[in-house]
This record gives sequence, structure tokens and C-alpha cells, in this order.
Amino acid sequence: MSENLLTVGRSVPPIYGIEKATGALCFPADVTLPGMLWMKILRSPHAHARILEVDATAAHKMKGVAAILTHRDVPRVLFGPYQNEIYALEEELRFVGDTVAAVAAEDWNIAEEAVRALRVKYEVLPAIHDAEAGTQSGAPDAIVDYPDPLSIKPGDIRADQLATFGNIIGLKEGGPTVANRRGDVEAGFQQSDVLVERVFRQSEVNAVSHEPRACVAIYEDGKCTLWCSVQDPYRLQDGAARVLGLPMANVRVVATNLGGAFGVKVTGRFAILCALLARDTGRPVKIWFSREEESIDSHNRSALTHYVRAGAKKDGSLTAIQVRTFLDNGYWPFGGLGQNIGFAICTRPVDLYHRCPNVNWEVFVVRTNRPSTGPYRGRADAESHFPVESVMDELAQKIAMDPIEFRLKNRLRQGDDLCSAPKKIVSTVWLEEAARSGAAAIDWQRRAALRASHSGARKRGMGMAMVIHSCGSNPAGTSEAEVAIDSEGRIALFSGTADQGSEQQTTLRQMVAEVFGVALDDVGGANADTSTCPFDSGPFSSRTVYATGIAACRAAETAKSKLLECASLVLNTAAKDLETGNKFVWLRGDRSKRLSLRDVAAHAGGSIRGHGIHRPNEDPLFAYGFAAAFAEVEVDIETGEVKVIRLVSSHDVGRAINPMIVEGQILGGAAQGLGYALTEGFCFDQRTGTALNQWFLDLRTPSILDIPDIEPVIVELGEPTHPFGAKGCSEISYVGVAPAIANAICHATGARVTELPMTPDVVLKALREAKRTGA
Amino acid sequence: MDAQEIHDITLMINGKVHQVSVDSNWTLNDVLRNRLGLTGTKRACDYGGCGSCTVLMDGLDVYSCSILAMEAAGKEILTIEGLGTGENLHPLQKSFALSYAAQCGWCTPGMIMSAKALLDREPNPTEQAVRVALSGVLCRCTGYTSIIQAVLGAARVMRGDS
Amino acid sequence: MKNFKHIDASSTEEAVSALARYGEGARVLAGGQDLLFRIKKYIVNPECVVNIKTIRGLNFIRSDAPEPVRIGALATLSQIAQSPQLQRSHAALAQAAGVVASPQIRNMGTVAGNICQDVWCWYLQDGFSCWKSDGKFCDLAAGDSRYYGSVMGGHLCLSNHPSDTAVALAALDAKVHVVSPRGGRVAPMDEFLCGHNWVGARLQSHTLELDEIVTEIEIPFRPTRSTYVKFALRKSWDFAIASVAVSAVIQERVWTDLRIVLGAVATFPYRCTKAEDLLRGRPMGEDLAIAAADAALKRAKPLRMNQYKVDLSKTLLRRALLSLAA
Repeated sequence: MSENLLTVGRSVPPIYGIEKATGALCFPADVTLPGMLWMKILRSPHAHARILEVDATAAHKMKGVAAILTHRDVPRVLFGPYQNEIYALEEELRFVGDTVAAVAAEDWNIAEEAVRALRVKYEVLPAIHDAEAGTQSGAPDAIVDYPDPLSIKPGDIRADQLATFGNIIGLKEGGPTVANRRGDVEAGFQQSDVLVERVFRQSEVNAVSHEPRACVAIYEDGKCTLWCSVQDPYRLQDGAARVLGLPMANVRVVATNLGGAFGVKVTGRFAILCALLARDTGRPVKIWFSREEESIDSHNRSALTHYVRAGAKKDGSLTAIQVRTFLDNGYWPFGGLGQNIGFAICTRPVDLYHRCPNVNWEVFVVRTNRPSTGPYRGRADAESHFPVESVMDELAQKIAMDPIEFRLKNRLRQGDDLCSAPKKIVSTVWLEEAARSGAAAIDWQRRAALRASHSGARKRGMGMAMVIHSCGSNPAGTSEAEVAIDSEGRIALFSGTADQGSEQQTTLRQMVAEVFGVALDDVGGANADTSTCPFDSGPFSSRTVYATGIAACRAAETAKSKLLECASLVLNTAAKDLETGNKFVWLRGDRSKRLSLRDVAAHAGGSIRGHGIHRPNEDPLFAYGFAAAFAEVEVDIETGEVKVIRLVSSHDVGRAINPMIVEGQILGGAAQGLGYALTEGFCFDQRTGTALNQWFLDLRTPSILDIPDIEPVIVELGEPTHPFGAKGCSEISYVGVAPAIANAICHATGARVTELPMTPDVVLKALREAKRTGA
Repeated sequence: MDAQEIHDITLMINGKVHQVSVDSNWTLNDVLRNRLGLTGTKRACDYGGCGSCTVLMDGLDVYSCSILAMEAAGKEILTIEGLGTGENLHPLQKSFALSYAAQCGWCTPGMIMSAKALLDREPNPTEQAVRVALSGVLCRCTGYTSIIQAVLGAARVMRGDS
Repeated sequence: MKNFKHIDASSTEEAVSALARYGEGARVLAGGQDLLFRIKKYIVNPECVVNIKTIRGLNFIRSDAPEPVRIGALATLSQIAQSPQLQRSHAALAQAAGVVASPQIRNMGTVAGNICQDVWCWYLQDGFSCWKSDGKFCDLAAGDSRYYGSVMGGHLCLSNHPSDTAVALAALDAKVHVVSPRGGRVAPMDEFLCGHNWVGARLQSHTLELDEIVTEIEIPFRPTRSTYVKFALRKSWDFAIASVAVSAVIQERVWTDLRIVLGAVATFPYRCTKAEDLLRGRPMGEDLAIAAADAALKRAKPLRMNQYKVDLSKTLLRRALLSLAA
């Protein structure tokens, strides 16, 4: 970068670092108040049932029990996580673990004992445990009751467009929920020289945020405050106000710091029930999920089945991609989440391979009696890249072309139109640069000789995958920011985004500091407190540095122009001739003519405030992040063990505002992606629908002994739609790891693994299959 | 069921003596977090699968969720709050804070306490020794690289190496 | 977690008399790393917990060759893993203790607790009715047995025994010392752990009577080599999917005295006498190792989802034999 920047581009220590390292940082789960009650939820033992009766007599009689809520006790008012509006408690229970009732008691143990003392009569209903099974004719309904679509807010996509056909969430005319079609795939297959047909299955996985979600509610004098582990505090503010029957101004939500979130910590019943219990008892109430609750009463990355066909010519041009995807939407009544994800699944990888003329990708989003599924780090793209990148590798192999060159030949290019963002064109594509840098880092040249150099049972191989992922400019919502300068001259940024570990406040404040030409320490602020911070739709989709960043820079520029105007009056000069730096305002070209920031601010009396907003769809240029993942693996063909020797994760980030944080995000995302690839995945009991391995041990997130050497590579070639040229990068590093490892396994052994996670039993099965077919 | 079994015990935490009435079914973690306000010690699973509740008991790193409060009576307990504060950081805390080894911060106190137990017995550990010693604390955010570097960096500082 | 009476026992006599008094209502707390999880999740519901960690002098490791090594019931897994003496004389045990769960669990967990731990079974933990809860059914036969199911059949409960150290101890021909108000007894490992068996209304994974506790473990000193190999999905925390312990005297490449025990394949540490017979008196070679591994798993009856554990165990055993003989 050519400009001389003070803070942007530097690895300054994160602002919350010391509080995190001393344990002083107060997460929602750490809030403890005098006289506080503890809340516990009774959860459904059935995948699908109707509550006939709740007998709370014994529980009420227990010493220390303060209040009990059943579905008969809660207001019949909808509230909404994403576009899915539900009631605080319902008579129909839709998965094993669904919320039946809630208790508040003097301590955590009494609350649990009281929950166990509730006697419930259920009418057990037939259930759907698998997305594909749910589409069969004659399958029972996974969901019987659901809120009347007409009660949904106007403008919501469901109300006028969506209907449900059996368990498939679909458009009114029926068929798949979403489809992406262009050209004629059959003609494309006719033209192809090679063809690949595969079925891919991916297990449902949990984000495994380490802070199980918590909520502490106080309700006094018609005002409610909630400290809650949510990434969408404004949606909770709205929902709690609706259910409590309060004006929004009387509800405050604080979600400043979260112990991990990854897209899944959203407004839910637990928080609304906590608020209701605080109101009913007049005392502070706290709920803190157990690990099993965090595992199942969350939205997980969906279980998927993809039926894929793809063809290419000998010269490396893709001719056709045909996919039919079944996506388990879980128990949510409508599927706003699943529908969005379904759309992204069938469009973004198609954009990545923009040169392919013929596409037919259908996604069936199916309601089941399993936990809710939705966006989790790498939303939609971890779901779709595993099959696509596996098949690309196989096509390249069949025409004996280097997998990198094959992909690059068919890739998206700057200025191409996008099917994932209709009517938009892609702004920058530094994919080739990321791929070449990554290839250099892992020494891709070694690939050919690698396989021959290892004999015996342990085979070596190298594989890669390319990735496209949202980086904030997807139309996920609005971001606002406010920058204020108080009469002491202190700059503050107010942002609605929670810090869930990606330290976005550090990055945002670096950008604000840069606008004023001051150091990071000179910018304070507050975040994710609805009483002091302007609206932000939340830290999802790698959007904060991009979308909130644009809003913050705009707010800073507005505040700065007010500051300069104020200074121009004192200095008796035109504002346009002034500039800021080093906590001064001075005359351009004559720095002796100057005023300290403090003097100007004192003059303004705290009135210097700037508001900035970033609206989705404001720019016809659309920013996407790109990455290339590389893996070197050693496969033990006798045990099925896959040892990852090395990962390289190379990223087009536009510009790294804070390289240390960017690298940290890349490393962390790659490590999570490694878990998705090799060990994580829910096992559901097919008879009852229970998530069998909801125990922390069996979620199997990688330990420190399971993580290989991971090298992050950052490509900084800018992004014109962002003031400092940044793109989001916190999710994309997750996406490419599983396909890169699968491709490396295939390179090492000839066996194509088509299931996630690639546990030893799965790998051994693929090896047997390869042997059988003589691969 | 018997009535609540309540016991008066003496806990020695961070060099201070606390007289506490505990139920027999309260864990050390329950008492630290819910009764003594020492919420720096976290908890992610409550049964020894995550390590975020790690504290030192008589110098050994242990899971505070998997020890009854009564078992901790009379033992020396050290929590993250006893290691250092914002004004007076322990080298491990400083190293974690400055190098983005604490992302969400939830595993961080457990990581640091486990690292403290290691450095107390082995001031000059290898990278592999750090991995083994910290293998009882899971991190979901960092991918561990920055954590390993932070521990090695703090060890250098504590040994007085440059 | 439910409330219970807490008794700190100051002697073995006090401990066993409390156990006798409360019968099926009592549970023994040593390291507590297994028990507290089970109480928290309402898998066991004791009226009384008898803490034996307050008994002094039960955490010894005494080694005075050629006398048997004696390890107190309360010796922690960390103590055992880090004992230079055991690392030399009984490597399999030190290795097994060193790969149990995680460092913190090894710091609290005891060797007696590790061999007396109950099964890690999703169905039991998820509240399914089963032989170990209130039912008469085991879901593992038709259900998800991929990691924790026996491949050698079983009596009622089909969950495999999860312990690492028990496998090593069985291969080292250890004996378990037990006391009760009725006096003491000594049980060889294959008697102490012989599958799931009823003790009163409890289907236990060990043969302790309700009023018995383990006091020490005795391991004969023989000039043997031994090794423990564990295969698990993650390198920390996870239970073995398959494991092997072998102890042997090998002279001039010929196996003279050996014991082979497989872990995570049966409801108890699975001794492979057929394979031992095949090896005894013969010089080691690749073919012999393959034949021994086949013999060891000849009687395997895998469940619906764990056939691969049979092949995996064969591979581990073959490799363990070859590396021990090398």
C-alpha cells in the first residue's frame, strides 16, 4: 500500500486482550447479581409430541422454587430470530431437546431438581429424522402447528412467496426450495469428454462456542435489562419488548463480549423466558446453558446430501454442473435460514466457476424433527464447497490437468455478473494471486514426487481447494456507527457489534483512529449495548470489518468535518484548508497554525458527533473474499488414520487492517475446518432422533495435539468499495480445509472420500471402495 | 431425600482464607463463580472435557468443575485472579494479551493456569512439551499456534532471556 | 446436581463400614473424574458419597525388584505416568496412564478409579432405558456402535470397557487387592474385570461388592518388555477405539513368556491366549505377527457399525508385536 498510514495495517494489540488474559472481562455468563434466581429449562424427550398436561404441583412445593412457566403461562406473541418467528413456549414440541417449560429457583441445583419434578403428559407424534426421508410421499409432517404466515411482518419473504409442500419448504409452485439454472446441462454433458458422478454426505456439526449461552435479566419499574450471549442484540431488544408488552425504549440488551459465537448465538426462547421470569418474580434471573443444551438448542451446520454430476472437456473447460441437494432444516417452522442458505449453496460455487455455461442446481430445504440448522462460520459455503471442490479435483485428474490450473481456467473474473447477487458485478477477484501464493508456500511443485517418496502403509499426498465466500457485502443487513468527540477531545466509536473473539472493535477503532490521524489508544468507545450504540445487524457473514467498517469510517469522516468546521471558526480559516493529525487540527502546509483536538472539542462542547450508515445493496459492485486451501496429509491405509502434516490457508483479504488479527482469524478458522473435515459430526439415533453425541468429549473439536503446522498467507491487493480496501476474512478459512484434505487423501491413496467427517471408518470404507473399483 | 447437606468449610484461594457454607453437591467451580464472584475461572462443559475451568490446587492443574467444594477444603487454590491484574500482569497474561493468543477469551484463564503449572515445573519447555501440558484445555478460536508462541514467549521472559 | 450425604473416610475401615451401611445408595469417590459426571447427569443417583481420598497413605508406588511392584489405590495417573521406575520396569502401565484423557484428569484421577470406571455409552448418558439404568435392553446391537461398542459380544450390556490402564495391567498380570468389612481378597485382573455383572441391582463393569474398595494393585516383576498402543480419534481426551497391551520376554528373537490384551473391543480387557500360544517359542516375523493378530480376533462378532474395529485391532496388534520384538 502506498499511503503512509499510522495505525491501519499494523498489528496493534487487541483492545480487550488484557481483560481476557486476567479473567476480568465480564461475559453474559459471568454476570452475577444479588438476589439472583437461577433458571433451568425442561426439555422434550420426544422428537415430535404435543404437550397434553404439565403437572407442576410437586415442583411448586419444593423449597427454593420461585416460579414456573409452561406454554399456558406465556404471552401469545411472536418474536423472531432471523425470519423465523416463534412463541416463547408452544404446545407442539419438534425435536429432542425442545423447550417444554422453565423454572426459576434459588440456586442452580434446586432449579434442576425442580425441572425434573415436573410431570408432563405427552402425545407422541410421528417424526422425520432425515431430510431425504422427509420428502417421500406419505411422510408424516415434521411440524403440525406453526404461526400463521399472514401474521408475519409485511415485506417478509415468507408471507407472500413461501409455502410448504409436505416437509419441503418451497416456492408456491412446488419443486425444490431454490434452484439455479442456466444453459442446458444435458447438452453440456453431451459436449463433455469426462464426467464425474458422486454422492456426498455431510454430517451436522455444532459451532461449539466455548461460552455456553447465558442470559441475565432484571425487570424493574417496567424496564427490562438483559445481558445476553447474542450476536443480534437489537433483534432481542425488539422481541423481548414485543413479548413483554413494553416499548422498545424500555428494553436494554447488552452483548458486549461473547465467548465465541460463530454465527449461531442468536435470539432464542431462553432469553425471552428469562425476561418473563424476571418480570414474574421481580428478581434478577439467570440462565446458563449446559453443554448439551448448547449442542442441541442452537442452530447447527446442516446435514446435507448432494447428488452431483459434472463434466469437462479435455482442454479443461467445464461444460456442465448438475446438483441436487437435500438440506436438513431442522425443526424451525418456516425456514428463512434454510432458504437463504439454500440460495447461497446453489449460487456461490457456480459464481466461482463462472465460465461453466450449463448449470442446474436444485436445493430441497426439508423440515425435520432435529435441531435447527443455520449459518455457522462459512455459512452455506462449507456446505457446498466440499462436493464442488472434490468433483473439480476429480475432473482435473481425469483430463490430467493440474488442479490449480483447471480451476483457474474456469474461475470468476473481475467485473463478471453474479448469480449469487443478482444485478451485481464482482468488484475484485484476487483468487489467482491467493492460489499462486499458497501454492508457493506449500511448495506445490513437490506434489508429483510426494506420493512416490512414501511407501508402506503410510501414504503421502497433497490437495487443494478454492473458495468464494461472503465478506460483508452480502445483503445481510444494515450497519450504523457513531463517532463522538467529547469536550475533553476524546474520540469514541459506538458500534452495535458484539466482540465474539474476532476483536472487531480493535479493527474498527484502528480505522477511526486513521481517519483522525491519532493512535489506537486515543479512540475509546462502547459496543453492542442497545442503550448507547446505534443499530447493527450483527457480526455475521464476515461483515463487520467491511460493512460496519464502512459505517464507522463514514461516521468518523462526518465527525471530522464537524471538527474542522468548528476549528475553522476559531482559526478563522476555511475548513477545507485544515487537516487533523497527532491530536491536533492544523493548517495544511503550516502546522504552526494549529489547535489541539481538546481545544476544538472544548469549543464544541461535546457536540461533535458523526453518524455513518452502510446499507446493503448500496453499491452495484459486490465484494467477495477468495481463498485457496492447501493440505499435505499422511494416510495410514491400514487404520484409516489421516494425519495432516501441513495446512496452508491463503487469502484475498483486500487489505489486512490488523495483520495479527487477520492471521489469528485465518488460523482459527482453518483449525475449525480441520475439525469439520476429520472428527466433528452429530450422530443421530434413527429411532428416536436423539443427538447421541451431544457430550463435549464426543463433539471432538481438535485439541492442541491434533493441530498441524498451519501457515496463513495474506494477499493484499485492495478492494475499492471499502475505504481502506478491506474484505472480511473470518469465516472463509474454514471452508476450504475439508475439500483440500479430501483431495489430498485421494492424491495419496486414490480413494475418494465423500463423507464428512472423514473418520477412520469412513476412510477405510473409501479405501475398500477404491480397491474394489480398481482406482 | 435428605435435607440439603450444608457444610462450613475453609477455602484458601489466591492466598486469602474464605469461610464458606457449601452444599455437598457444589463443585469448586460453583463456589468460585457463583458465591465468591471469581468469574475469571470459566466453564464450558462442566465435566472435564474442556479445561476452561482449570485452576491450580496445591500447584497441580485440575478441573474446578470436577472437584467438590468440600474436597478443596484446606488446599491451596490459585485462580487467574490470583495470578495478576491489569496493573500487575503475570508474564503469561501479558504475553497472551499482546499477541492475540486470547481471541474470545473463554479458554484463556484455563490455558494460562495450565501453562503456569507447566512453567513452574519446567521453565524451559520445548514446543512439544507445551502442547502436551496444555492438552487438557481446548480452544475453539485460535488454532493454538498463538497460544503456544505466547507460552514460549512468557517462558523466555520469566527466564530472563531476551 | 442432586444433593447427597458426603462422608470423608479417614481409614479403609471407616470407608467400607459406611459403604456397608448405605448399600446400593452409596458411591465411592476417589479422583471423582468419572463419578461426578455421572451424578451431575443423573446417571447414578447416590444417597451418600464416600470420599476415600481422605484416607492417608494410599497413594504409594513401591518398587523393590524382584518383589512385585505395589501401587496404592489412590496413586494418581500422573504419578504412575511420571514414575521413572515404572517407565523402566512396567512401560505399558506408565504409557497407558500417560494417555488417559487429559493432564488435569490424570492429576486427579486414580489408578483404582480408572479400572473401576463405568462405560462411556451414549445411550446410557442420553437417558435411554438400558440394562445399566432401569431397563432390559441394549441399543448398541442395532444402534450406533461405531466407537464404543464391543466386537466380542457381551452379557446384556454391549458397551466396551473404556479403561486404558486396565488393559496394561491385565497384560502385566496384575492383581487387585480389595477390602470389605469381611476382610480382604486378592483378585487377578481377569477376575476383577470380566464383563458386566450384577451386584445387587447394579449392572457393574467390575466385580467389587457394594461394601468393597480397592486398596492396592500388585504387579509381578519380570524382566519383560511391554508396550501399550492406543488408537483414538483425537490425541487428547478421547477414549480408545482400539488399544493393545503386550508384555513379553523375548530371547534371541524368540517369544518365551507373553501376554496380549486388547482394549476397547470387549466388555473387559480382552486377553488373547490363542495368539499367545501361537507366538510362544517361535521367532518373530511378519507372517507370525499377522497370524497372531488373526488368531487374536478370530472370535470377533462385530456389531452393525463397528466391523472396522476388528481390522483396526489386528493392525495395532501386528504392529505392536513387531515393534516390541524389534
